[in-house]
Amino acid sequence: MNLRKRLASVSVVALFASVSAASAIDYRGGPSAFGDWRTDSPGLTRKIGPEDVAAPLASPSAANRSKVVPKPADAKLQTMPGFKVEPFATGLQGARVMRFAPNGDIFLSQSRPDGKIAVIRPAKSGDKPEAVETFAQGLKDAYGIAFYPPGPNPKWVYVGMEGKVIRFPYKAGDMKASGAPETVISDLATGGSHWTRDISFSPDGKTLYVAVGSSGNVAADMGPKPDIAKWEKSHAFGAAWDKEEWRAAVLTYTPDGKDKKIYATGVRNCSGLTVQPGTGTVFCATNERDLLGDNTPPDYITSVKKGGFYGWPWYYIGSNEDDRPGGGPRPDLKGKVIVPDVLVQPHSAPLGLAFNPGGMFPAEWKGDGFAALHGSWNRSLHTGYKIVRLPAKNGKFTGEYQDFVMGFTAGDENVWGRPVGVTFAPDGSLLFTDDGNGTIYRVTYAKPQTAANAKAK
Amino acid sequence: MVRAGFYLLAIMGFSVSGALGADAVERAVASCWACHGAGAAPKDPTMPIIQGQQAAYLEKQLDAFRSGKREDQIMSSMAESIPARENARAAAMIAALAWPKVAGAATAPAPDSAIACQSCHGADFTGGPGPEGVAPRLAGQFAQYLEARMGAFSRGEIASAATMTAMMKALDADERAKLAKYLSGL
Repeated sequence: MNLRKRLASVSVVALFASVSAASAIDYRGGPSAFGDWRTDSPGLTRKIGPEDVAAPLASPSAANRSKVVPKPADAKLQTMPGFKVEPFATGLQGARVMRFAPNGDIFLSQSRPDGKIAVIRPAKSGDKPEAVETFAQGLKDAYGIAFYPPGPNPKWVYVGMEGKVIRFPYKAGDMKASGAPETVISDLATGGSHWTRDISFSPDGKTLYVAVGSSGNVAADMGPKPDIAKWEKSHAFGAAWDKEEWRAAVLTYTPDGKDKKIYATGVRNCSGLTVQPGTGTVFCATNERDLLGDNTPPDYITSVKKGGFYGWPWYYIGSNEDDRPGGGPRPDLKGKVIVPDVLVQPHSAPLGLAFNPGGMFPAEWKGDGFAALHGSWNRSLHTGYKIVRLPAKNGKFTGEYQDFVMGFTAGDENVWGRPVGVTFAPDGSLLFTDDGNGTIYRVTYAKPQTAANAKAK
Repeated sequence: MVRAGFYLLAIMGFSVSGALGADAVERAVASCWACHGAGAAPKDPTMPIIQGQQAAYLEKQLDAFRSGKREDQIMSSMAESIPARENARAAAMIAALAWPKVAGAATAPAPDSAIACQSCHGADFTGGPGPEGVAPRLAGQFAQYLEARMGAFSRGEIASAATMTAMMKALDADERAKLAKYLSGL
């Protein structure tokens, strides 16, 4: 073959390659990454950069509350090849956060309407409960759960509630609380619209992290500015005041509830507080502000730096200024806002976050994050209502996210599931909660049979 | 259609704001109709009709949503977008609109319990001043919404009106449903 012919054949191959890549869309970056449920597709990867953030009210602010309906007869969850998603447990009204006890029992908060902690003991097969018990009840807004001390023999189960953190005595195998709870922290902010209080311990057990969301959307009625230098000294850099004091922040305490400090500020509502195994890095899945239009501003999932300021209420996703907070602008904070690691389609409402410990999913996915997107109301067409994978390299998110489990939307108005909590079982399968219809789902993986390895058998 | 109408309102509101000074209150009120129905009853019967509701009642609800006393994440954002000092004006703007008729709401017989409502909610159930502040209009409201609120009162979930809690506890779910149906058909 002469050179010209060889070149021609190479270019034809290249042309085919580009055509096939374009026909099956599996990547959306930049402005094309924005979208609603109709562009979701298992395996589709999106990447939104801070430069892609749409201007405020580039589209009008919509109100499109989803209506939760029972599962339609023809509805089916979709996931990627080789994965299977099936109900693990049903009838768990208000199911929110799940945490595995070291013995393999699942502790589940059912925050509303009544508020309780359930314990679910999985059957040996791992695909259904063997027993379900109420560990404790009468706990309105119970949300975050953490075992203390870390390790194989925790003595306490901590529960984050709207105004407090309580703890129950615990020993391995308990499915009902053996004693009354003790209040460890009693001074968490109450009122306003964000009531979830997720909690987690540092790997050394010395620090209890508590996430407290903002009272309002964007602190529009926050009072006049205090003396900022003094305020930041007694609180933290970027701390809000008035009804927002000690809010829109990650707080730290000792395990017995002392020594309250602000760990990070400007995090509007960290509903999914997760400490990364191995590194001890704190991560937040955060819901950003409302009423700025369909694609502004992105929600985010990020590592959280000690002393870091993430923008709320004065800025978002870097130095994008919001003129709505009460008390006037804060030019002193411009340029000091940390840009989060993974920007997620605005209004998706990321809640739970978990890291894949390995053991079942593809080996190269070990250490990746998985997050639950509860789904939108402030968007003309629904978005979210799915589980996404956040690829990580050396423990750091790449900024991309991939549609992993989807299919809860049924037309433009109805949904039949709203994902909240995500966790990994000891066998490496993924469990997630749905507080719309009170279900826990389990996602398992078996390497798909390819033509090649089928032949080898 | 409702949604398209809302877009138009919203777009007009926002584009006018710079040039002619349509203010934050007008914009915020325009944003109500996406859910609460523009010039008509809401599509969703779990959503209350607010056009023509008692102004003082609306004002109190906006305050309650703002403070989180009445909990709803969406309404909390919406209420916050109205400057606190403008609550009364926003409420008056909504109250001044005509109460929309719910299409197909059937008249139902009056249960005995209805008489007890009238001392606060008025002989024609259109609301007005009562011993625990202003009572909202009930006549022509969605039955599903009324039933949900009556249920919440009966469970003691609404702390603002002790009389309502006591009265709703005294009725069982079936009686509350009958009452809601009657009021809705007025």
